[in-house]
Amino acid sequence: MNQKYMLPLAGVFLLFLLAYAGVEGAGLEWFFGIVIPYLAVIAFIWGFVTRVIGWANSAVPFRIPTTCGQQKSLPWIKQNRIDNPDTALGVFIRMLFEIFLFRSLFRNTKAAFNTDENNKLTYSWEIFLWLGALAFHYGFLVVILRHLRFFLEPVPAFLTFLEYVDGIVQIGLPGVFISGIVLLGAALFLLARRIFDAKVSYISLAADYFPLFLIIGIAATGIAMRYFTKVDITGVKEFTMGLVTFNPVIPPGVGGLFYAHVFMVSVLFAYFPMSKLMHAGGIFLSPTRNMANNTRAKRHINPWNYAVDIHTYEQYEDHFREKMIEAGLPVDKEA
Amino acid sequence: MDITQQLEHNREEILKKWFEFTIKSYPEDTARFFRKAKNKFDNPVGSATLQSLENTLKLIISMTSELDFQDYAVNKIDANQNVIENALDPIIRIRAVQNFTASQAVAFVFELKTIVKSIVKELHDTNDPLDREEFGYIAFDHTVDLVALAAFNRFMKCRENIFLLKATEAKRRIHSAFERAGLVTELTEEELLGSNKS
Amino acid sequence: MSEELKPDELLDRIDHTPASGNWMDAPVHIRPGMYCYAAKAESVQTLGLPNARTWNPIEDDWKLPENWQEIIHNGIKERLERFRTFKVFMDICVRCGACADKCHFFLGTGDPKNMPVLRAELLRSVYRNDFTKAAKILKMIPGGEKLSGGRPMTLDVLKEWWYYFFQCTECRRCSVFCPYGIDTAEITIMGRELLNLLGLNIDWIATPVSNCYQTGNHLGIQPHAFKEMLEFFTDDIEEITGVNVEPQFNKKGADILFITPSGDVFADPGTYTCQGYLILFKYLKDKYGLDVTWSTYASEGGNFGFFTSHETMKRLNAKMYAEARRLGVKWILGGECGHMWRVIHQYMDTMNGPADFLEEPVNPITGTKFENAKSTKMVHITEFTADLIRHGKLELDKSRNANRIMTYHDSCNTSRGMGLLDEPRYVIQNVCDNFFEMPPNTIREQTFCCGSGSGLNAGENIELRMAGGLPRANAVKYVHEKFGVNTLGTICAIDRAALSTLMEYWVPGVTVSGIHELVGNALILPGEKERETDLRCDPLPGMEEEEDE
Repeated sequence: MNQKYMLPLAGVFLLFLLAYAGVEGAGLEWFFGIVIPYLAVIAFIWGFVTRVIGWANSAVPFRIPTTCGQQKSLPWIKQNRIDNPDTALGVFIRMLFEIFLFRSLFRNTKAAFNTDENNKLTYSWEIFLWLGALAFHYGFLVVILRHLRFFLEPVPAFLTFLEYVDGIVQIGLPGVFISGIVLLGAALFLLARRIFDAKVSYISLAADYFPLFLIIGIAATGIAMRYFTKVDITGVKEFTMGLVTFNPVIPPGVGGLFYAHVFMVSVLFAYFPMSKLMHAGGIFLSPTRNMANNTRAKRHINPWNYAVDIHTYEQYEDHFREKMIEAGLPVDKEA
Repeated sequence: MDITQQLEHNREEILKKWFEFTIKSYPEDTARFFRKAKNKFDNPVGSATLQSLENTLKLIISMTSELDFQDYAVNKIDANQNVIENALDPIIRIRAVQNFTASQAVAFVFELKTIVKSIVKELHDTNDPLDREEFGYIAFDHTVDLVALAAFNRFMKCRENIFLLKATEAKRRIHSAFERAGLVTELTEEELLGSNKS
Repeated sequence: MSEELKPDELLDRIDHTPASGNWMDAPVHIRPGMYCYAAKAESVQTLGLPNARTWNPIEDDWKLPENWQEIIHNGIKERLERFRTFKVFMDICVRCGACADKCHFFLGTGDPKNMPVLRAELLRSVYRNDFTKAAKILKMIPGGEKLSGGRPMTLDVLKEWWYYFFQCTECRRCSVFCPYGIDTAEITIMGRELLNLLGLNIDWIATPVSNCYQTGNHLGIQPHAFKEMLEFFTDDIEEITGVNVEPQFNKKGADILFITPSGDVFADPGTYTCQGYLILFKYLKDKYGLDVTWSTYASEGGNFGFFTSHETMKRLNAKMYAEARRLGVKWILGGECGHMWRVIHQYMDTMNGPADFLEEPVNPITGTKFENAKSTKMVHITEFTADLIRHGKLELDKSRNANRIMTYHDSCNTSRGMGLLDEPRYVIQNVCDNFFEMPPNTIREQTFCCGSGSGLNAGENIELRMAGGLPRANAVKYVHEKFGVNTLGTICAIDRAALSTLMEYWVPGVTVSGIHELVGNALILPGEKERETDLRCDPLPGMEEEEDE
């Protein structure tokens, strides 16, 4: 049991130490700051694309959406156009709900909002899975968008605006970004759920803990740099701009913590395409969600549909002809 | 306080422990899910188990208070038996289809004695049989035995029910229609049951 | 479930926490009552499927071919290329656990390997080991093998597959809650296909498949016997209504070919539903001249091939179009059945179409075009009947069902593989006054399976079926106690058989009935005598006293 999460935890620690010690001790800034990030981005792009192409290359022989509402049938029966779409537009909206609001996961929570015998509303953990997942993904998204400011010069207006909104609570100096806190909190919650919810812990693999620890590590080092060690921002920007302009530089005065952060992000990038994190791409290709339920109205073609042996009517009649005639059933050929 | 009052006083705690023990007969990971007996429809096993134990415990308390050894008659047991069995029915009916052995399926009843002993302090303090009788423990002890017997009864009834269903189902499904139409000679019994007795 | 314990150990109250930790290490224990008997060699042979032999799941030796691991490996590989569902579902599960408590088998049996995610992981673990780059890279790092979550294909794994893929009814309830739409039914279908490559089917599936292939229906009812069965119902109906409904068989040039599961023809209480169809067709013939024919060749709507492999499904399904073409009908009407409709709705046209020899289905009585079926050209009977009722074409006497307090069980396949939800409800509400829904998290797309679908409706696994049906029964029990519900309506042949038994065990006092049985009761045939009983020969409401006199 422990092994399932102790091993990944130790692994993430090791990665952190490797980069930190490598930079602080051995002066390998160029390796962890330049070689690894480039390799990681190449691995990410190559891996992601190959993976998606791999899926796309598999055939979709049948149109088998999971229908979650009334079908389109008679004109006076109200169809559920989103949960049981029969048009491309319906599918598109269904996918939007699925991707941006985690609709199916939310369906899970509705069962949890039941009233018990005393008519009190009862909650269960289900709502928190949905909330936690939303918080995690949106927190992550905002954090990534915010980081774009390191890679763009001049910084576009929308990023400044995003930062303004993200920092709206205005606590401390430098001001707290909500997204980072939300991301770390949600990741910790998802981790706690994996460890303490028995049924989730039972189904969890090391491969489920590893990315969580890694993301927690990334968020923690990021927060540490911003609020505690106060990393040299100009140096960082110089470094990142160097990377994106293919003119890499190692600025002075940016410590091991920063390189550890960059290294862990690189590992996450490289690990992404060969892991379950690919659900980010897979959801778009999931045939039970991205197909219209109009199979009876519009013929779907199976690219590998091959002919099969069947028991024909002729064979059948040959076999039963006498009995059929005797029973007064019509036959094609008289005996 | 005599035992009835004690049981009444500690009912919540006893029920909690009893439920806990019963649920522990499932694999740990499943048990933790069943324990969340909140929604009756999303978790029928957990909620039926809790409900059934609660009803049975109420019954045990009222029976313990009424049990009169001077007037102990067989017909009274019989009268009670049905009431107890009905209270136990939901939990036993579930356990009868869950691959428990008979002893595993009803073991939870006996556990009540241990739980009560651990909670009701007076029981620790005395070893004198007379005190124990005074206190009402013997009546309680006896009631639990009755409940255990009822549990065995109900378990057996459920199992018989299952075998009966198994036997009649195939017949009802296929045989009767054929029989009415006089076509049954076409097929052997074995084919009808669709089994090769492997 | 719990491990075997000796009674004295139990009394000593040894706290027994069953082997927890890594599920991959917990060996499979094939338990009586939970598994179905092995397929008979003859049945496997009929369709020329591999490795036909006599074998027994509880014996150690499963008589597998020498190179069985290779067969499985190649089988997985082939299916990864052929089915995007399979490939994507193997890759993207994040094990969030949303599906874990959605499976009726998990809820009823409490066996953690019945959680949908774990059922899929049984296969996924082998996939990860054999097919993913991550595993290959991780194997190079010390301790990495554990990190990849893979395991090699061994005999124990195979047995585990067999045990648990035949404990899934392919109901798709988990798929509704999955944020990526991962469909365990799809994974079970692949798992069973792979098992069938080694001849590891169960008899309750293999024998109906073999019968259906040769004789036209699951039970192997021969043509003359099929006709006699329906004629027998005709006699029964004449006794009750005074009208001879005279069905037609294999009639060339009829308007409509009608196909229903053979369960309706031979199995109670489906037989009463069948009588309902006969009454409806007679009514339409007399009133509107609609010409409906039955077929003895395509005398099976159900398709247990679907529970064997895609290929077998196609081979059995081919008869429907072949017969429609031979008879020259305009379109096909399908009876009340669950998986039959999943096959028709989502597979038939693709597999055996195009049905260009048929006409786009139009109801000749109301003029309604069935737009949603214009390519497949097969209409569901509740769509058809709902349309007739809506246009006021049926004369119905609801009072004849007044003693029925109804609830309705959505069949898994018609709800989650089609979305046929309101049509049957509309029909029920027009033939019966008392209708109460079960709680919302147990109906419509969230409906609970009967626990016996996908070929698991055998006798030997009855404990599994009763446990798996518990969530459904529990909801029925609720409306039974709250509203006095005494009839459970359904549009699935397996439901009619399986729920009857399930109700007898969990909720005695509730009978199971097809929707067209109720239609048959309510429909007033031209020239009928005053009915005294319903189709089950029970007195009609208000007729009870007259019986006594």
